[in-house]
Amino acid sequence: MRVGVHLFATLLAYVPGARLGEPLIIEVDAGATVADVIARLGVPAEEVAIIMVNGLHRDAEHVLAEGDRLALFPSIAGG
Amino acid sequence: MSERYDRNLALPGFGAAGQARLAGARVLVVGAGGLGSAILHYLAAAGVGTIGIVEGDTVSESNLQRQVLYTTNDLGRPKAEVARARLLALNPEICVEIAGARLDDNTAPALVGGYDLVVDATDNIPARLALNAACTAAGKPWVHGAVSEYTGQVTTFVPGGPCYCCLYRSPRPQALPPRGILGPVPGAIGAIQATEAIKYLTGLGELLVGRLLVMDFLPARCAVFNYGKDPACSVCGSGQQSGPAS
Repeated sequence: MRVGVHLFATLLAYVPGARLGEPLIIEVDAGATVADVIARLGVPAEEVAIIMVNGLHRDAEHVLAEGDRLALFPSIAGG
Repeated sequence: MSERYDRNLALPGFGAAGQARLAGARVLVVGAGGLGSAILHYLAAAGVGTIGIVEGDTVSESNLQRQVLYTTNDLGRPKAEVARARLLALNPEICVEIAGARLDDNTAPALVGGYDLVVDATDNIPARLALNAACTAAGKPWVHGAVSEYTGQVTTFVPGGPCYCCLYRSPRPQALPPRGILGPVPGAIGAIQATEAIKYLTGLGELLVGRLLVMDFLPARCAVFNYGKDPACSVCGSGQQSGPAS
């Protein structure tokens, strides 16, 4: 199945070619979780602070469905 | 007659009424570093009547790369004092208060209580959590900003709307080591925060409520992420006694 992934801020650096505002469309196996996608993209799990699936907060064990829109944010804290 | 605010007064929708609103406003800026330098400068220049500064650090050499309120001659001096003097030199018509040295769970309620609006120029998550809790409890709006490397973000929280913890459900206090930051990035993000503050005070335009503006300066791209109030939010969710009515 296919899901769309939006990476934000410093997480973009982990995925060559990823661009802010443009979703990555990736193929995943049925039953794949958010954690599976994070690992597949090579993003360090500890750097993901916000997980949103279709605009709703989810945790890393959330099971994805066809067409889901996943947004991953780091914790940006500097000032 | 003073020409100081001519460019504000000439703006569509701004006028004398808008300028008067700024003059009568009290804004607390928490932090006088990279974000704070820009925020404080633009709020003072715009004529915000009373600006409070929360800052306990002294000026160090590595600050000068991005904290544009300070000069080499200020090294070792308390940032709040230098910032106050610099802002009053820019605009003697306003009042600048050193509100405190540090915002945390203990000091936040008293600090935010004396102001109409708070602008986040902190550099750590515990301070933002304390700010969020205090502002939510007191029904105070605040403008969040944060930066890292080549990236920055801004969003605005108002009473009754989503709060910081609706966005960051389980923020890690400080799990990662500090990263570098390109000098103009906090300047640009701070300027956007100051713009949000002026918009709030004057009632102009649309605020970044429920919208996280993310700017990635390396590829020169930006995006807006829409988010809503989380009913299960531990700070402002339904059933919480400390938050505004949901």
